[in-house]
Amino acid sequence: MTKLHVFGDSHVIALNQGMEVLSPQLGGKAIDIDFYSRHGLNWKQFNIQRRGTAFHCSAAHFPAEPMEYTVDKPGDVYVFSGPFHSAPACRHPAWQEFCPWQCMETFPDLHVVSNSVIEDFAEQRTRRPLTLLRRMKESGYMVLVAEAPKPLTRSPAIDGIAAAVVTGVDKVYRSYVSRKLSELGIPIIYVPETTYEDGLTKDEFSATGEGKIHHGNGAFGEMMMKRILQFAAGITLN
Amino acid sequence: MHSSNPPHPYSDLPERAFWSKAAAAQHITNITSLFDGVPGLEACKIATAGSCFAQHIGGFLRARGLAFLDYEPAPYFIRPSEAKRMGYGAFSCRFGNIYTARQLRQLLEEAFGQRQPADAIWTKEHRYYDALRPGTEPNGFSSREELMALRAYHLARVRALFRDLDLFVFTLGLTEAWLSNRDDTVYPIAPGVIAGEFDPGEHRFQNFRYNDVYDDLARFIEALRKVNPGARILLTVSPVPLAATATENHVLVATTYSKSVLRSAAGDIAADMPGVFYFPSYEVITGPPARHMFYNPDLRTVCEAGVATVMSHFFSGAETPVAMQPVLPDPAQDLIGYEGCEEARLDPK
Repeated sequence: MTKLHVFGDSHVIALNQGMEVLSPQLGGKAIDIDFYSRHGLNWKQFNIQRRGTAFHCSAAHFPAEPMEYTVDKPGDVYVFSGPFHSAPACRHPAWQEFCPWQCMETFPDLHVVSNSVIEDFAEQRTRRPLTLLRRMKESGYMVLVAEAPKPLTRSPAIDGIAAAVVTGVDKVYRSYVSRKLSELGIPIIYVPETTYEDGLTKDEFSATGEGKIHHGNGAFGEMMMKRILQFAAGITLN
Repeated sequence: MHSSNPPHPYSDLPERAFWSKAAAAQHITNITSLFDGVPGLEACKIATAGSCFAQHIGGFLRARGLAFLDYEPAPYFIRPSEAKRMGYGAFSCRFGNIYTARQLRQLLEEAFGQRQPADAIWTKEHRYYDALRPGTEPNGFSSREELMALRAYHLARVRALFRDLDLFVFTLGLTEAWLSNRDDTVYPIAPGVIAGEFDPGEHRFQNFRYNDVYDDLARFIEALRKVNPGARILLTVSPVPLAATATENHVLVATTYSKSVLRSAAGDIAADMPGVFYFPSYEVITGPPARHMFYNPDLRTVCEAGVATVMSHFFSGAETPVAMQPVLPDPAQDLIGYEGCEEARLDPK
């Protein structure tokens, strides 16, 4: 039986919701899945303790939900959600005054930054998660990374940032993360076609409710879990 | 019977004219009257550029609450160390180091469309570097398009800066430079050092002489005043010795030549052109009263105390405005992008 561990930040919630929809379709297919999710800031800066072949991840950034997660089953498949959470970068209020160079002609009054500036932000945010992934990979674990949804349509208006700036930053951020994961040899489960032409996630795949400015919904999670199951366990679901 | 000497040209000169009293008898930190100050400094919009020593000036201007212009600011989410590495905040634009008067002149000419460098892109390991400021993007650009976009933005900001400034502080650093044979474009560093490839057929060395430096400064100031008639200029000379010379001379001899030419040209321009001042940072650091104590152990870079002493003379005679408070990052910004994540915990089954 394939054992799948989906762990990481708050985007795991949508994956879990998606799996609840898919579970009845599994029938007798041999797969066992568990989910573990903690606030994304815990995954920005966390301790990694090696115990034999296991890695214990811990953080107490938010005392109400301290993070304690152990990776200890080398024969299982681990799916990590975290490195692609670009919202802290592309929704930062600095983008009311700055823009990526790719859209400078559209926004002549904004200061222009190079890709390196955005990549530095991404590097700061992903250093620890990438360290965990590298160490897992070096220790022989099968680990994948699930991409987080692209920015939602309502996020630019809420943050007062032009949509093209949000998606421009997001694109550079994700490109950086993809490159780093590729260098580590970590497979990526990319999001399927869930965006409008402007690069923002379609409403039908976006979480609703106050404060839900960057999460996918159950339908998004369902699409992602289909991809994860296909890649990790060879299970194809309609 | 006591006899007094008849009057002579030195009889009535102030104390600062005499070495024994004004220099030999004074600790360097007690020397006064080196600089008469810039009239109206407190009300000036001040821009800085120049060699590496000039990087210190902007910070001191900010700390004194003066109107230091930063026309290519760093996004405030970038780490201070990375911002510094990428040339943010060092000068009023992300010029990189402008070591020579020719570089300064060609920058203004390019900004206002009077010249277009023929060979301004260097490559290294599939990355692209702005040959006219290669240090500002240490990892290079991803493409020529990105490089050209950032250069166009830079030139637009340079144009705005030159139009808006009241006082331009420029620190002369070098006379030695490397040029393109195609169109005489001057580079801040030799091709091949940071990026690009040195080709003796494409590139040549030039050690600018007094007339070159004087002429470049004069033409720069004339061009600047065409777009900003009220602009005043404060010239300084970097006390930092050459890291290396491409002449056949010993580096110490080459340094003395270079600094002597720059010092002479800066002083003469200040004497010849109205609204141009010379500020003696070079003398504060290199003069015998300093006994070389302001140099770090490498005998090249200037220690913090030296910079502070230089800047104390810069502000002599100026009113002290209220110092600006540093802008501290807002801790709440760390939570941006994590709204609605509090319920992330999934109860373990």
